[in-house]
Amino acid sequence: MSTRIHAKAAEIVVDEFDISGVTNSVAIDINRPMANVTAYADTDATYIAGKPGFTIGVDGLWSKASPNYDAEMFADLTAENRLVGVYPNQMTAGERGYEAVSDISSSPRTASFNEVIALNVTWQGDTPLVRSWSMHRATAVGATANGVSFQVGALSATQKMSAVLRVFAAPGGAGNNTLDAIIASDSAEDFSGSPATQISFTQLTQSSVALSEAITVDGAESDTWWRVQFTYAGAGSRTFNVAISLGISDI
Amino acid sequence: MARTHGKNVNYAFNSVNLEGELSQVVQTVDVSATDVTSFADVYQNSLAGKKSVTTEITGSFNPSAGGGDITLYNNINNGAAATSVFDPTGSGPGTNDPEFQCTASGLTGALVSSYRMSFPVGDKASYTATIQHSGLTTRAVS
Repeated sequence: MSTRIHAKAAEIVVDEFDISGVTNSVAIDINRPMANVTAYADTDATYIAGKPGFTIGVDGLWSKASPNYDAEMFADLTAENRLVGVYPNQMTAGERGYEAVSDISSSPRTASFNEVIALNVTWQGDTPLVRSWSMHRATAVGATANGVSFQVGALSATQKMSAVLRVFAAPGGAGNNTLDAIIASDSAEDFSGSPATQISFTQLTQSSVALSEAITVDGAESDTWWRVQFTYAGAGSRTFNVAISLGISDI
Repeated sequence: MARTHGKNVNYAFNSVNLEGELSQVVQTVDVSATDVTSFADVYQNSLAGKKSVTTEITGSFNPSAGGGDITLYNNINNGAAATSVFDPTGSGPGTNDPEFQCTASGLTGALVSSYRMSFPVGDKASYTATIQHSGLTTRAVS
């Protein structure tokens, strides 16, 4: 039987904000217009494909605090290249989802006398939609460790690997700890081959705040196995609430 | 009189069998009708153009390797013509048991023109895709 999932535990993130607590429906629409190229000699209508584009529609509940969904979406109105992530079956490591670089194109706040106030947002895609892996999700990273390896795949010369790091809150605990997160690749699942560092995120420190960082690397790359690796240093008990995703972009 | 339940449908796109996650397949054949009505006609008249076929599929979102999600995502990204095979009975093609196929070859083939994934909190994760057939779609009965 094919995998079937309920959408009740979907996770929606925008940059470093987890908005799953105030949203209740998401739809991703990818459209590719077809040009009619039918000629007299053709028996049937004939088409060729144009350029694809996408939108992400997020239905939400208007919230003015904890989380301040309203203010964040209002602030995003003219901001470009926001990182929207949709994970239909939670964001735990190994789950599949979609990552998008997008802008708000519509955000009606709908208030009726007998209903909850809604804040629905339509995100217009800026770059190719990336079918991503959740590589690591942990609310309290506080040690040097390697994440689980996933066969994300090899890259052709025309592809890129797109990674997003999200830190959902300032680090907890006390001390001057740092956390370096990298994404490495190898030809073997257990990384017994010749592991290579592919992506290095900006070091997190005790001064870090909630943030997001997107990094892409160009193909070609023959390694198919990828994983997150953390290096934790310093004195203290700081912990970091992070999510890292990774996926192949065709352009 | 033959009547057929839809419970046994098979549908494959780009050689990936999707009936394990699909719950509805709608294949529409449209023929543009050009109006040629003249003053002397009593009723409106039209002439048939060339037929155009689309297939709409609806199913449960399946992100697993080799499932519908990766199959449709890849096709709408690469824009390449693929083969679409719709077998309403699941046992065709045969006598009085048609199977509709658009085979990828040159400009002929099936193209994903839209792919919508939906994740409502109170329902299953699902998808709908519209597949535009380019060129010939055959109705095989043997």
